Amino acid sequence: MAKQGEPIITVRDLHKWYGDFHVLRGINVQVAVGEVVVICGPSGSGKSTFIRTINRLEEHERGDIIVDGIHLTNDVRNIATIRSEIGMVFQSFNLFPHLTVLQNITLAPLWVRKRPRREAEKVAQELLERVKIPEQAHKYPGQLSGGQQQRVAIARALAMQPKVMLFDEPTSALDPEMIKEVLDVMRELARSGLTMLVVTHEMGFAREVADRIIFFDKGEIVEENTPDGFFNAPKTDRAKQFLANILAH
Amino acid sequence: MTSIPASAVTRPPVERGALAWLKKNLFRTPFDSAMTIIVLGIGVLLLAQFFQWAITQAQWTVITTNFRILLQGTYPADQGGRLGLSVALITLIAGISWGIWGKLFRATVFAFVGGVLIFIIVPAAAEGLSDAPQGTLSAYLSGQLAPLFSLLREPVMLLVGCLLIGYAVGRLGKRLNRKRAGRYTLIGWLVLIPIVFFLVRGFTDADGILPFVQTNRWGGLLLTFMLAFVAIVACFPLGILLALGRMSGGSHTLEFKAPPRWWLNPLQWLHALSIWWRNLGNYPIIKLLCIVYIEFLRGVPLVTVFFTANLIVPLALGDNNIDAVLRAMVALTLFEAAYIAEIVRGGLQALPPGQLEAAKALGLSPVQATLFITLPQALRIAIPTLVGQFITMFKDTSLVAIISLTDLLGISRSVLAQNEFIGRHREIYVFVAIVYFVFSYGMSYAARQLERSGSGAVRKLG
Ligand SMILES: Nc1ncnc2c1ncn2[C@@H]1O[C@H](COP(=O)(O)OP(=O)(O)O)[C@@H](O)[C@H]1O
Ligand SMILES: [Mg+2]
Repeated sequence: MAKQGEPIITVRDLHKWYGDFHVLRGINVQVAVGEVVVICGPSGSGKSTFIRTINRLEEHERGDIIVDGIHLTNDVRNIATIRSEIGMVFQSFNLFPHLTVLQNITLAPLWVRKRPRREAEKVAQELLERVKIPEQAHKYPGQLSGGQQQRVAIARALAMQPKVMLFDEPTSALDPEMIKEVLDVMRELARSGLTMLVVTHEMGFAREVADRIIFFDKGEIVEENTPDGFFNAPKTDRAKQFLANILAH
Repeated sequence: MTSIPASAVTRPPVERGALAWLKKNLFRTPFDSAMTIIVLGIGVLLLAQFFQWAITQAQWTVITTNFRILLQGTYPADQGGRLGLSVALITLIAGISWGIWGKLFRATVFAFVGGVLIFIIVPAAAEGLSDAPQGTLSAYLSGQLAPLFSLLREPVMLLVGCLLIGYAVGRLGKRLNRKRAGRYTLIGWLVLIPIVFFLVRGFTDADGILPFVQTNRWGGLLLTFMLAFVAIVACFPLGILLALGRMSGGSHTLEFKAPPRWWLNPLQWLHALSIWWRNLGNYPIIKLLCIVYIEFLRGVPLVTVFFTANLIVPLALGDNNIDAVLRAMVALTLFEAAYIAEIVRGGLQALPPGQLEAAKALGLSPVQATLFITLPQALRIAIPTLVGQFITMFKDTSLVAIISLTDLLGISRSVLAQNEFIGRHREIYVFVAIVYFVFSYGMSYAARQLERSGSGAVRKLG
């Protein structure tokens, strides 16, 4: 198991095609344990595709992905192990509507980690406290607001005690007044030392929390920078253009 | 310009009541009014004709004389109690389920009570009229209607009584502990399936408590029920396997990692079975077989499947004495499984892809994802269509008359062949239609209640 500061995700020369369309064109990234990396870039630039290759929701055609020393190949056992080490939070929450909040959170610990029910439920309750909705345990997702649903989704991912958390635009589907409650939870996670890879358009959050910013355009990494460097003195024209667009509205 | 303060503005009056409803829905425009009057007129005319026939002319003795045979065929009369018990048990648990998941409206209670009262009042009223002169309405009442109603009285009271008692029990259980009551009721249904089957079929020899009754003595409504019952229970899991088989493929072999004493847990059984099935699904040949099976059976009429099963099942098993009812059950099951498979597949495809992705991202195996995430949701989506198919199935059993089985419809035809009752088509087919309608409507009513109770959990999800 990697220690603080050592690389936990290594991506080398990653390529992916959708048919003839070359979505990812040679991505190289290293993420160290405890790092918070924010990925931004224009819509359609391949950000989602990239983070989804890391837990094999998308297959890549060339290059290497190594998570905590495990090479991501077609071997099912590796895929299963890597998926249980990586938590993912989606833009559209993807909670299971037929299960209660508590059941949503305990399902994977019970069936993948084979934890005893009592322990899994105790952990789930603690996580709900952490995301500040302990009183919603027995409701169904459909009875919660968007912000609450996304916080349940975060708790569900955390219940597997992942080494890395992936966030794919976690606040894009939320009303403005709910964005803050989700970002607050993510801030707290970042402070606790969790390794996070976050795709987001929330530039305030990125500036405050990120250790590093990766800027994607047309399937390539165009710029990698510190938050200060990226926001105050972007090195590339494409990044300048992007920031101008995003700050303009 | 001055404006009225918002607090002083009053809402225009809303018209309420029956008259307003009529005006709004039936007489909104002159055209609406004309249509309403025409349709209503035709309806009233037809109904009047029907009732005039049904309660002054129809010769209901064809039903009363053959009542037992219509209900149970040549099932031994002294064993009839077993059937009564089966019906009572099923109705009771249906009532309990209703109490837990459904809602009983006051109108429904009135309909029930009113229905039962008719069956009590008509025979009672006819009591004093037995020596009314021939040809009068009173004579018809005591000679034709009273015997019919008094024969139906006990079955109707049994059904309604068990349903209402069950409902009360279900309500009570729900109040005490909703979750546990629900679980026990589901287990009750599962246990009841084999109980009813063995109660009807029997398994001891002639002097035992439940003597075996050859299936060639099952007939009438009993046979209709048993065909539908067995076929529904059997085609459902088969259809699910076919749907999953058809959607499978292109993935890696899974291992069944058995936890200690896994055989004690039915869920683990299911798990092992589905892993096995899914691994088979890795071979494209299985997927192909599922597709061929589904498309072929959906492409042929049920009648031909009955005929074929009648010829092929004995050949395949090398035994010419395979009982005809079993052949029909097999045919019906195989045929309907293809339809169930397509309905389940439709449900699976209606799910947002994010559901499967979230399950994968959590590390659930494909089998776990199917069992816990996609299949339960797909089935809930499919409930209305599934129940529709089950109702179709219930009615389709009437085709077994073609392979000379005497289900409710088949037996009606042999009744009509009796000298005494030649030409009594109307009476007997009206009776058969009403019986089919009551049970089909009951099923679809139950399905609507089930849907509504599940909907709380499946409300909008962003
Ligand atoms: N399943 C797919 N099939 C074909 N093209 C896809 C698919 N998913 C995404 N794309 C395309 O790949 C590109 C990158 O998509 P995505 O990674 O979702 O971008 P981003 O998350 O940066 O907005 C887009 O042009 C999109 O249209
Ligand atoms: Mg995206």
